Amino acid sequence: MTGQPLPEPAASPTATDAGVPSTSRPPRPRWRETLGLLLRNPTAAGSALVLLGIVLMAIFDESIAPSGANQISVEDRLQAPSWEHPFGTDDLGRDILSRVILGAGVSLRVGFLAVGIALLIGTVIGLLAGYYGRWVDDVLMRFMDMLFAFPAVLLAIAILAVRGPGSGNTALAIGIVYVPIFARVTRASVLGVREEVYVRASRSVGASDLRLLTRHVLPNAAPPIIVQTSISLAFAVLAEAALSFLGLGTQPPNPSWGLMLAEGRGYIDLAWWLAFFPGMAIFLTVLCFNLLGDGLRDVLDPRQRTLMAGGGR
Amino acid sequence: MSAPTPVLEVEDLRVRLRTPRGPADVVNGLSYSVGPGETVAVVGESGSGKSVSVLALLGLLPRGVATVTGRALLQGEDLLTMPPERLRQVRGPGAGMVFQDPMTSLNPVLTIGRQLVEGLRAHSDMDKAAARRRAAELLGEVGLPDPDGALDRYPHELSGGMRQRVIIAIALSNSPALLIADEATTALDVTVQAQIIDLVEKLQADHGTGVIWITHDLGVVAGIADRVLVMYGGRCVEDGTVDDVLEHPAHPYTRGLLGALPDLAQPAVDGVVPDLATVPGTPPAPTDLPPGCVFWPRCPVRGDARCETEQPPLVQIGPSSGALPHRAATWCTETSALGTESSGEAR
Amino acid sequence: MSDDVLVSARGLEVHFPIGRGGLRRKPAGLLRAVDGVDLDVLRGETLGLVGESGCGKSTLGNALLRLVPSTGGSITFDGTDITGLEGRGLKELRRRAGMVFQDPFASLDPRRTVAQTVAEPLEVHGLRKGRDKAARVAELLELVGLDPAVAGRYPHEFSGGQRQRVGIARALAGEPDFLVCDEAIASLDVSVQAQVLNLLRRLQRRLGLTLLFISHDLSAVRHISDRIAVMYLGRIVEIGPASAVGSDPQMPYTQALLSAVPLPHPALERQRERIVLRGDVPSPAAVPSGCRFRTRCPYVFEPCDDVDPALQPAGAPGQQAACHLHGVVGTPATADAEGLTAHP
Repeated sequence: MTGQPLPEPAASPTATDAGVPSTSRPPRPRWRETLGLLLRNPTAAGSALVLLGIVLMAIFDESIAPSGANQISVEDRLQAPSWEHPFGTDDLGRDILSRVILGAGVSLRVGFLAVGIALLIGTVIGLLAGYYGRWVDDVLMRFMDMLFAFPAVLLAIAILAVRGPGSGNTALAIGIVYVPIFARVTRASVLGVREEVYVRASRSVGASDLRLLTRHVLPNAAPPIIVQTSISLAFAVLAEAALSFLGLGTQPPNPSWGLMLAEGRGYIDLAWWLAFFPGMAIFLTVLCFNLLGDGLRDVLDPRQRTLMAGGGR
Repeated sequence: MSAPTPVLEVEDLRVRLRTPRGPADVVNGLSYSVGPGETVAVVGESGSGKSVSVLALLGLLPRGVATVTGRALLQGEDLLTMPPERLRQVRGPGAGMVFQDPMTSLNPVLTIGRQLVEGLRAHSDMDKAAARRRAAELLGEVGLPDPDGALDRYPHELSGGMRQRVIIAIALSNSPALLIADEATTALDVTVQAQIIDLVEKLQADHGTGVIWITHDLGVVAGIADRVLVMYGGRCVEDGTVDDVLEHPAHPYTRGLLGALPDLAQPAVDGVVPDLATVPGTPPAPTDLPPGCVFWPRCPVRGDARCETEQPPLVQIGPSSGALPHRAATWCTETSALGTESSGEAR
Repeated sequence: MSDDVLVSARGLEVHFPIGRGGLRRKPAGLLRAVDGVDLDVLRGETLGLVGESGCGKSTLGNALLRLVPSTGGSITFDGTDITGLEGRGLKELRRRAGMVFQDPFASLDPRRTVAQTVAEPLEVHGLRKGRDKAARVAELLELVGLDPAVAGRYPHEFSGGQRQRVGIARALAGEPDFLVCDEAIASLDVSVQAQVLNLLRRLQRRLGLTLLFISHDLSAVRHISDRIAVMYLGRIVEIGPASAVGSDPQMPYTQALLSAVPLPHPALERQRERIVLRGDVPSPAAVPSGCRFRTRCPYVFEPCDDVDPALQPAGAPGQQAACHLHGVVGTPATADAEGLTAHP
C-alpha cells in the first residue's frame, strides 16, 4: 500500500555495470498489493464500498427490511415517500424500501450467474478460437455468429419457453445470450496478444500451449474481458428486468428490481416513486460495476501499477 | 565552410516539458549555426534531447506542454517568436524535414503525386498541371525510376528506400534553405543508406541547402558532416569540425561513445578482437539532472568536487584543425588527464 | 558428419504462401524467405549471419530452432535429425537451443516479473523447484550483470539494455548449447550495444556456447564473430573466417555491403570508394533466374543469367563465395523459376 518511489538508476553507488539499483522490495502477496492499489483509487474504492453495501443488503435482506415483501395493506396504497415509508408504497400498499432490499438478492443473483456463465463459456471459446485459428476458429466463431444472429430477447424467450420461467432459468438464458459477446471480445484480444514477441519467446524455451494460454495469453488479453464483464453485469440486471416485464423472469409477487421498474412504469405520472427507487438501485449498481471495472483494469496493468505506486512524483 | 550569413542561427535554446514527474529540462542552452551548404550533425543517444531540439525550432512540440526559450533565426527571422501562420508558411520553403519512418510521414490513402502537388501549390501559385510536371521532375531528381508512373502510386507500393526518397522530394519541393533530417536513414539498410546520403550531398551541392543531420550513428556523421555537435542530457557537451570531434574527442562522453563502437576499420590485434569500451549506467532523467557536469554519474575519469557540483562551460580546448573552434564542456581540459578509456566491463 | 558441427542445414527451404486468404485459401504465390541454404555451425564458434532486411536471415535463425516450419531440406542438431521432431524430443531441443530477440521491450511479458520470466525454462523443463529455483534465478541474473535483488520487478521498470540482459538470462536458463541472437542489439543505444556485445562474448567463452549472431550491422558482426555468413534473397552467398569476409570479400554483394558501412573516421570516409548498388533488392516472391544478385551486380556476365551459382572456395582458406567470377559452378536455370529450388 505504501508503494515505494523508484530510486533513480544512476544515483545508486552499488549499481552493477548495468546500472540497476540494488534496492530490494519486500515481497508482498500479489492480491493484497492489488487490493491496496485499488483502494487508493477513490472512484474504485467508493464503488467497491457501495457494491459491498448492496451485496450485504442482499445477504441480510430479511433482517434489514422494515416489512415483508408481500405485506399488502390496501389503505396505505400509493403513498408518497414519508418517514414511515421512506421510498413510498405501491399500488397494493407494499413498502417499496422493503421490496428494493428484498429484490436486490434476485437481481444480483441473476446478474452474477448470467455473467458467470457467459464469461466462462465465452472466454474459453474465444481463447481457443483466437489462439489456434484456422478451422478451430472457423467452427467456433461461425457457431457464435449463429447464436449472435438471433435477436437477444427472442433467444432468451425461446430458452425460457423451453425451460420454463424462474430466476435460475432467466440467468441461464441471459448467460447464453451473452456468450458470443465474450467469445468475440476474448478472441479479438487474443489475436493481438498471440502475435506478441513474448509469446514466441516463451514458446522458444519450450512452454506448452496450455502454459502459454494460461500464463501469457489470457492475463495479457484480460483487460477488455474485465471491462466487458463489468458492462455485462450492468446489462444482465437490465435484461432480467426486461424478461420479468414480459412475465418470463421473476414471477410476481416476488420482488426484483426489474420487475418493480416494469410494474411501476404504469404509475409514472401518478406515483413516480414506484419506478424511481428500483430504477435508482439498478442505476447505482450498474454505475459502480462499471467504475470498479475501470479501476480494476488499471490496477491489473503493471505499468499503471508502478505509476500509481510511485505516487505524486 | 562557415559562410558570413548563416541559414540558421540558434542561440541559447532551452526546452522545458511539463511531465507527470515534474518539469523536465530536455534542452538546456543549445547554440549553433548552420551555413549555406553546410551540414551540421547533432549526435546523441536516445533521451539526449537531439530530436526535441529541432522539433522545438519548427514549433512542432505540443503547446502548453513545452516551454521554449532562446532565439532561432532562420534567414534573419526568429522562429520562436513567429506567429503560427507565418511559421506554417516558413516550414515548406524555409525548412524541409525528413523523419525516421517514411511510412508514417506519408498519407497512406493519397497518391505520391497528390501529396507532392499539394505541397507545391500550398506555397506557390503554380497551376495543377505545372505542379504535376514539377513533381515528376523532383522525383526524377531524387533518383526514383519512372517518376511519372510513381506519381500515381500509393506509399505502400514503394520500398522503404523509395519512400524515403519521396519524403526528401517533398521536403525539397520548395527549395528550402534548410533541410532537417531526423534519423532519416536509421530504418534503412546500409546500401540504401549510402544511396540516400549520396543523394542529399548532391542536392546540397546543387542548391546550397544547409542541413541539420540528427543521428546516433557516428559512422554516418563521419561521412556527411562538416561540423558535429554532441548532445548529452540536453546539453551540447562537445562541438567542432568533424575531424576534431571524431579523431580527437575531448569530452569523456564522446570518447566513451566512440570506444563503444565496433570498428570495421581496425578490428583484430594479433587475431584477438578486444572487448569494446563501455559507458556504464544509463543517461540521467531530464527531470533530475545532476547539478554539476551532466556526465558526472557515469564518467570513468571523474575528478574532484567541482565535477559534481559545478557545471562546466562549453569552452575551446586546444588547437583546432579547421575554421571552427573545437569546444567541450568538461573540467577534464587536459587531454592527458583523460588517459585511455577503461576497456571492458568493470566486473 | 564431423564431430565439431553442432547445427547443420542441408538444402533448407522456408517458403510462405502469399496472398488471397478468403474461402478458397489458395496461395497466389510463394515467398521464398529461405531458399536452399546449406550451413554448418561449428561447436563453440560464433557465426555471424548478415544481410539486409528481407534477406531471410531471421527466418533462417527461427527455422534452425524449429520455431518456423521448414518446407524443404533437413536440419541436424548435435548429430540428430530434428527436421520432423515432435513431442519430448522437440521440448528437449527447446532446452538445448535458446533465442534472444530483437526488441527487448516486446520480448518480455509485461505482466510477469523478471524472476517469473527467467524461471520459465526451469519450470517448463522441471529443472529446479522451490528455493533451488530462486537461487538459480539469482545466479542467472548475476551472470548477465543484473543485481539479483531486482528479481521481483516488472519489465517496464528497466531500460532497454537491462531488459535485453533479462532476455539473455531467460535464454540461458536451460543451460543451452546453442544460442541464436536475432538482431539482439538492433534496438539499443550505441553505448548499451557495446555492453550487450561484451556480455555475449564473455558468456560465449565462459559457458562454451555456440552462437548464431544474426544482424544487419556488419561492424557488430565483424566484432563478435569467428566466421561470417552473408545472406542475400534467401541464400547464403558468402561464408568464411570473419577476418577474411570482413576485409577481403569475394562476392560482389559482400563487397558492396562492406563498402556501404559508414566508418567513424572522417578522413577515411572522404577517400573511400563506395560501391553504390543499383535499385532495390528483388522481392523474395520473384527471385531472378540464374544468380539472384545479377539484377544489381556491377560485374554481371553471360553465365550469371543462366546458372545459379553454388558456394565454392574463393579467397582465404575456409572462405566460400557463390559467384561465377571464381569459376562457373552451379545449377543451370530451367526456363521457369521453379528450377531454382533444385540445389546440388
